[in-house]
Amino acid sequence: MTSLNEIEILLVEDNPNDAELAIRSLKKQNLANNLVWLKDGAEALDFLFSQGNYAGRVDNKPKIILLDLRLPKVDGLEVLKKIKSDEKTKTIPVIVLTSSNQDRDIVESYKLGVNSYVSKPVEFDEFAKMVSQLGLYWLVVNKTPGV
Amino acid sequence: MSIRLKLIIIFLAIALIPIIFVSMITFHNYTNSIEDTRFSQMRYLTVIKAERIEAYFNNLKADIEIAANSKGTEFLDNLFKQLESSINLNAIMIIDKKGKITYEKNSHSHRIDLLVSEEIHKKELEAGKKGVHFSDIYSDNNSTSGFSMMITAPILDSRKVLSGVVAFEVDMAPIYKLIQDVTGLGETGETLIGKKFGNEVIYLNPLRNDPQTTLKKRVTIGGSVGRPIQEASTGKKGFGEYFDYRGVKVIAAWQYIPSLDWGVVAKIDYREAFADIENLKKLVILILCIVIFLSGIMAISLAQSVSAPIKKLTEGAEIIGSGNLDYKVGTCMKDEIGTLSRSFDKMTGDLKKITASRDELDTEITERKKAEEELKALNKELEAFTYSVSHDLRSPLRAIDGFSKILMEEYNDKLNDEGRRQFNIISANIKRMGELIDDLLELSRLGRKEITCSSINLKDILFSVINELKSNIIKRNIDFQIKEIPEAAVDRVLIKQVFINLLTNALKFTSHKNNAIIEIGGNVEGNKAIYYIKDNGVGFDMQYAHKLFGIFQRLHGQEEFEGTGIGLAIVKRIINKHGGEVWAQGKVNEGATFYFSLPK
Repeated sequence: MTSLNEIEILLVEDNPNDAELAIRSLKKQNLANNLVWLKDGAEALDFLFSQGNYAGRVDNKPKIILLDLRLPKVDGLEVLKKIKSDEKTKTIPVIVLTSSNQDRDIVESYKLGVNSYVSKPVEFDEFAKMVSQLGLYWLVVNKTPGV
Repeated sequence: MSIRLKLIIIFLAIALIPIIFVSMITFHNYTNSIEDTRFSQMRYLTVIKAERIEAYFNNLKADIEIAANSKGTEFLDNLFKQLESSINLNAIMIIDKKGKITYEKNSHSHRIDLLVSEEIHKKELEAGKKGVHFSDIYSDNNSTSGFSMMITAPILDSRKVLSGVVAFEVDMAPIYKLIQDVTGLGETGETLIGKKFGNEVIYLNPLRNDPQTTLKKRVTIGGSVGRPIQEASTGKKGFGEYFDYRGVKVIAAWQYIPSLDWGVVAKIDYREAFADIENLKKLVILILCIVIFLSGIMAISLAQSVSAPIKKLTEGAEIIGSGNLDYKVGTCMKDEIGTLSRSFDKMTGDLKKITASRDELDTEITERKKAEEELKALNKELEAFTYSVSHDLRSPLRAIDGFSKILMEEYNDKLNDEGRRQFNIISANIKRMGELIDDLLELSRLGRKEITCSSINLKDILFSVINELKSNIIKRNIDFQIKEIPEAAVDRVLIKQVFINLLTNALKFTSHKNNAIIEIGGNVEGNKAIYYIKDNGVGFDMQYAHKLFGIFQRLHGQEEFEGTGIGLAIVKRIINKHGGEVWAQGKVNEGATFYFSLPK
């Protein structure tokens, strides 16, 4: 169904442990085959808009973006803003996956057009369950406008 | 208006109004009495003069009747001699029916023939045939007074048939003397007689103020001049204030003499009659002026003595009001104002002390505010710190949990039972640490959250919380008893958290009971509503009651009852944020009751 170089998930997460746990959980559901993991906001923007290190990259957009808010270089909210204000990327579902439980972050994210906001549970079992549910929902259940 | 002016006016009013009032009444009474006296005097003189005039003419009438009845000239000669000396009789004569003079006797200078020759006297003689007749007064140069009157009477024979007329000519001197007697009439008073002729009244006697115009002076009836004589001559009697023949205002009395058809008037100038009143008026005004002057001086000095200390006090108050608290009014007066001044000085002293302590207080308040702000800032910092610490703790904890789980998954078969037991201990502690972090985060989130209150039916919230909790409890027999729950203005989300925490506690501490009873109720006391949640659980020792709502404070061991020790701290924080209080009562093994109040 999906071509080999089609990116399904873009994971932007600076904490390698959290990233590894998330990827592991998605793998268990066979959802991590076409996953790209980037470690900061600047890299994420370069990747999405084919610029900087990713200049000349074939324009293929991820199906969903899992975005942490606390990111080095460019903050998660800034990344979200750029994604949602560009015609080419604004239809990609963005799920904020963060440790922050602050009202301000939640409100700001929704104002910028986030599609979902999820707080990372501390317990691994719950975290794993949640990540796989997210993957299943957004990639399998949810319908997005075709590319 | 200044107090001084007010006092002067009040004093003058109090002093002068009664004096003026009494003066006016006295003056009025005196005027009335003088008027009465004057009028009685005039009336008395009028009556006396009229009586005397009538008496004179009655005597004359008697005399002429005697003459008419007399026989022989000798008798008439004697009568003439007698009357000439007593009443200035000028002449006696007798005329027969044919007009011939049959007897005449003149005073030494009088010429009777002139009398008879005048036309006017013929008329009198004619009138004398019918009875005794008095002629009008006429001018007569031979008379002492210059005026005379003729009296005529009929002479009847033995058969009562008219045989002639007897005539007397009398000098007016005695009458004029009587009339012109001004005894009791002062400088301007007089009596006078007049007679009406047509629509005029002629004055018959020499007037005091106009002696040369006898029988020439006249006034018109109806005019305002000589009103008293007009009244008298037209047959009236009375008294009053009028204008006399000169047009001068007079006090007058008058009456009519019918036998002579004369009017008699007694009068005196108003000015003279009431000279006493005028004098009295002047005296009263003088006295009033003196009283006003003296009262004025007294009022001013009194006002001065009252207002000066007040002024001094006012000035003192202004000086003190402008900030000079060291100023003293200082007076040694013994009266109320003196007392007031001393009290005022004392008050100023007290005020100074109070101001000083107020300044201290101000400084203290400022310092306190500063400290409070510092505390607030510190608190905020602490909360931010708590938040970031607990937030940052989550990631490593998740990693520990995650990788230990992975380890367990991948290497489970390589561990023995002891290894697995120890691994489970690690897992349990990770879980507990997660809970602690989550609760801490919740508590710090509450600290920063603004509450939005609205009037809410707490019973509904309570039911929904109980239903949620019931679904998590299996195999337990719990009796929820819900009593009266008053409404209150609260933040729906936060108050729900309060019920969750308190009911969770109640369930937790009744977990060993077979028949757990949890009673929830409330009532309104004054301006606040008080709610309680009572259980029949393990209870607590009241000596630790103050520790219940502290953060991380637990009265039971972790093995006995699980928990982080933050739930009640959250309850306290939420209730405090609403302006309410929390407290608890309990006894070991006899249950606990948690109370909270909310403003109505």
